[in-house]
Amino acid sequence: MKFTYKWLKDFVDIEISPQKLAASLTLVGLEVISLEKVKEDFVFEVEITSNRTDLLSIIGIAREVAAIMGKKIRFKGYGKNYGFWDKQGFFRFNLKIENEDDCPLYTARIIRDVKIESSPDWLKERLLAIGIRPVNNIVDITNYVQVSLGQPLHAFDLDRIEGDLIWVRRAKDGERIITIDNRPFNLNSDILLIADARKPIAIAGIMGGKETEIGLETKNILLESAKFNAILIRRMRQRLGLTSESQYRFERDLDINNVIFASDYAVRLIKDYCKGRIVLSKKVGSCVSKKRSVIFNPENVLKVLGKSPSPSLIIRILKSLGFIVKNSQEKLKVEVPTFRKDIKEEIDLIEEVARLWGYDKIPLTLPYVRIFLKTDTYQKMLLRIRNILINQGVSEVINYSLLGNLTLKRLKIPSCDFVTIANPLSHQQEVLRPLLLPGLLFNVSKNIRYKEGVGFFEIGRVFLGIKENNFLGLVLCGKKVFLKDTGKTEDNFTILHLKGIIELILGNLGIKNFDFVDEQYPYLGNGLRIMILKEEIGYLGKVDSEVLINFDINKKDVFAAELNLDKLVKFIDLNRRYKSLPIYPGVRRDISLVIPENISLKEVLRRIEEEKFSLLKEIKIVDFYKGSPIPSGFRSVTLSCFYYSDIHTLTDIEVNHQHLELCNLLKKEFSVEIR
Amino acid sequence: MDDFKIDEIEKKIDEAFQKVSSLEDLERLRIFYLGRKGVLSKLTGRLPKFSLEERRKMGIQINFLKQRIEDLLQDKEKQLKESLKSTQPIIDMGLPGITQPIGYMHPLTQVIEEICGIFIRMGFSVIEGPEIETEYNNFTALNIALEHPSRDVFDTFYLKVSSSNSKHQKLLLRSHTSPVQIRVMMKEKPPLAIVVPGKVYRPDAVDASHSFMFHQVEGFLVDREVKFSDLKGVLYKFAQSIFGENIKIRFRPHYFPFTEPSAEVDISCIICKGEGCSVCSKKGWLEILGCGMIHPQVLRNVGINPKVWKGFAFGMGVERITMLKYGINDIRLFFDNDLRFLEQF
Ligand SMILES: [Zn+2]
Repeated sequence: MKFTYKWLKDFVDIEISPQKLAASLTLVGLEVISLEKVKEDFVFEVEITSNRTDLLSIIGIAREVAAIMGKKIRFKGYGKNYGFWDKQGFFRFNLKIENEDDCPLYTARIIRDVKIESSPDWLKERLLAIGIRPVNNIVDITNYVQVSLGQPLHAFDLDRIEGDLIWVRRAKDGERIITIDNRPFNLNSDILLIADARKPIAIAGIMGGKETEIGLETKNILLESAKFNAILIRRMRQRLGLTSESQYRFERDLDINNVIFASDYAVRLIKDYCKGRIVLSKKVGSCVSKKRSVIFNPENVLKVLGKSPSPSLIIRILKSLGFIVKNSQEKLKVEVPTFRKDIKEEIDLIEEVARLWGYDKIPLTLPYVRIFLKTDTYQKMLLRIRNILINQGVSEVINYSLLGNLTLKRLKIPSCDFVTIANPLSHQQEVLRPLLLPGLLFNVSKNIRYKEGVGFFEIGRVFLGIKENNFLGLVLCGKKVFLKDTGKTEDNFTILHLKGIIELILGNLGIKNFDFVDEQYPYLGNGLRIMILKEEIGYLGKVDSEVLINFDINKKDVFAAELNLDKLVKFIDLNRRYKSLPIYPGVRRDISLVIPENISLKEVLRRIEEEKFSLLKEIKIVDFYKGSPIPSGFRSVTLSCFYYSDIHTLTDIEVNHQHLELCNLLKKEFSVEIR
Repeated sequence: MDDFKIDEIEKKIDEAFQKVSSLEDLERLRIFYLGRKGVLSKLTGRLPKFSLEERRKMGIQINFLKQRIEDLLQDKEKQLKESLKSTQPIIDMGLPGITQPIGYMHPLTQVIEEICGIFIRMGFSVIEGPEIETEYNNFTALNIALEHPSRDVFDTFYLKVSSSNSKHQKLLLRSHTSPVQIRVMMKEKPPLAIVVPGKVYRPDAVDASHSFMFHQVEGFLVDREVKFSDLKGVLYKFAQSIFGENIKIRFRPHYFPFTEPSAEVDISCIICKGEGCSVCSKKGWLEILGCGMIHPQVLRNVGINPKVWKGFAFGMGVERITMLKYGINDIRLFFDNDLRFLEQF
């Protein structure tokens, strides 16, 4: 809402500078977003919140200023009734409202022999200052009154209205209108019209028709001032995609009591600046709006704010805003002016008191926060996961949750239970992501151009059906390059790096019973399902090379994994039990063996464990090698075995016995050669 | 070596040691004096030729001499090694230190953790909510009328959902984190002190300051005696923790359908300290969050009696706070995920 300093002064005496006024307005909730000097005046732009319809007028702002400064509102020309309201009329003209829900009140003034010309300079300047283009005196006056009093008006060229009738009705299918801004609209029964006996002459509350527009040759006018249903205007705006200053105000549910008031003011200005004589004033509908009261207990101000102005100051503030305050025992009965539709209950009045008193008068206190401690395993898990990943050199990304259908095609995912957006703004916002991989691939594609290797993770929601789940996504691409004291070292990422990170995470979360099982995924070359007990937790694998090309990643491998964190959290075990440190020395024995490649090491370890060697406390793979001099089809593997007893120091004989048994098991069952 | 006199030997020792300039020389000198065929050994060998009295006297002298030579050897060795060390080439500290490569946490995550951490220390608990919401939770329950202009700031992505098991409720992507207030208050009994971080969505055209997806942190407290002054105190502590002890804070009346009284909170501009600059559009203040006392209608909607319970709520945009905190001028950087950006935090 724009207005000028001088314009505002027509309504209220102001003794402070525009700058000080701007600061005061901001502090009562009318945030001044700009203040500019234009010629001899100052132009204010104020952000009006959607509850304060009354502030979409200079008189409304003046009321606030009056309340701030303890002044009274004044308004030149207020209170004079122009023309009598005619029921029959010597001038034959009829008004008809089809449905009073759509239009509770419609008024028309007929003014003859107006002189259409350019407006006086002061009027043009004021309009220009707030960004309204002057047109002619009649149109300018309707605009001027709309800004001054907040009530939109519309003037028709009376001689272009056919028949002696204004009919406020819904459009019939197939009716058409060309608006003042030269846009044709096809109408239907969702649209409320102002029509004459033959045709639509305006889209009610939004914009007039071209045909009845005021022009230089106009002699007689019909001035409309009315109240339209706010929700209807809103729907019409949405349906037609047509906005205007008038529509903006009507949508905010204007004060019905302002309809005639504004019309009177316009008539006065028209008489002053356009000559003309008023021959008819006519209205249909009801112009009464019921008085509302709110019961207000001043003691509640303290309860809500923590500090309260005195009861007399409370009453003074309310009165300054135009409320009528009546005592009824310790409570107040506060009558709400009709223009304050936002005031419905006591809390609304408490806000008014707080706002005008000043939020800065309310002290700073700290609440007594009663313990409501939720032990949040999920948050704890996230913290651990993030820490591990960062320590592993993987960086966190945040990608958009919305994707284009094309992206999913690039991933070779058959379209299934995707959640689609009904009103996307672009082709990148059609679907809710069903997995994190596409975003991560975009990240790789973007960064791998200037990095030898990248690792990314994302923690976020994925959507299948209307179910959403928290997922962890992870990608590695290229190589890890780092410095040793001998210089640069490179380590090409493989699936084992990814497996390593996942094992680290699962291990840290206390999950032991996990497994990787072969599985087909459209976007993975060789995929593995990550299982915990019998539940599928996610996948890992090497991304399909065709998919990589689709994402513009060339001649590089990408390894990806995703884990369903909502499932994972059910399995985590963050409890730890201390195990006493070894009391006796243990014995470490390594076995170097050559084993056929087709034998799974997982199976080997599983068998050893199954055998339950009593002294074998730990066995792990510490080295592996493929290639010369190991014959093809074989690989060499070094197992490190740790023997320990917690009751005595082991003798060579005891260790040898079990170690030999272990070696024999390997030889017999896995045809390995021990070197 | 008949004229072998202990005094003579003693006199030459200092001179001999002074000439030594390397560890090798020193070793030679040691062998010369203390070796199996060295000077002292020879002296000892000659002892039997003397009388008992002389032998005793000379024995003591030889022992002193030996002790002295050993001390000299030790000192000289230390001295030589020391000088050797200082002439050896040291490691060039211009070379980069050796570390394991680490990853970086996204700046938004860092700021979300910082914000939530402040409130956790005040006794709040973190709860997350779904990103797909019902129209009721996102609007109606929060006192936002479906066909009212107050909804216009909440442009919303709606979902095309064919399945009818959502009770004919329209589904949408939440346009703010406030529906989590409704979810929590419907489920849990007050007192409540909750912070809710999460993503929100609004169909805004993307530019340097707009994104169709962004993050909010919502907080609310419901108890028997909660006052606007408590809200002011809590948010002042919060602003100090995030932006520094000297930050000034201002509460401006505003309108939100779900709080009343409502306020927008400004901090003194962290760039110009309130003087006025381009970042704060010459106002000296920067808006950082919206807040207010929970509207009694919202409490009624979730079955909490507003005559008994009161509450405050606040919500802030994480991107905005992060941009202010680090001087980032384009919101798109957060979702571009360029490592050169991520590695700065
Ligand atoms: Zn500034």
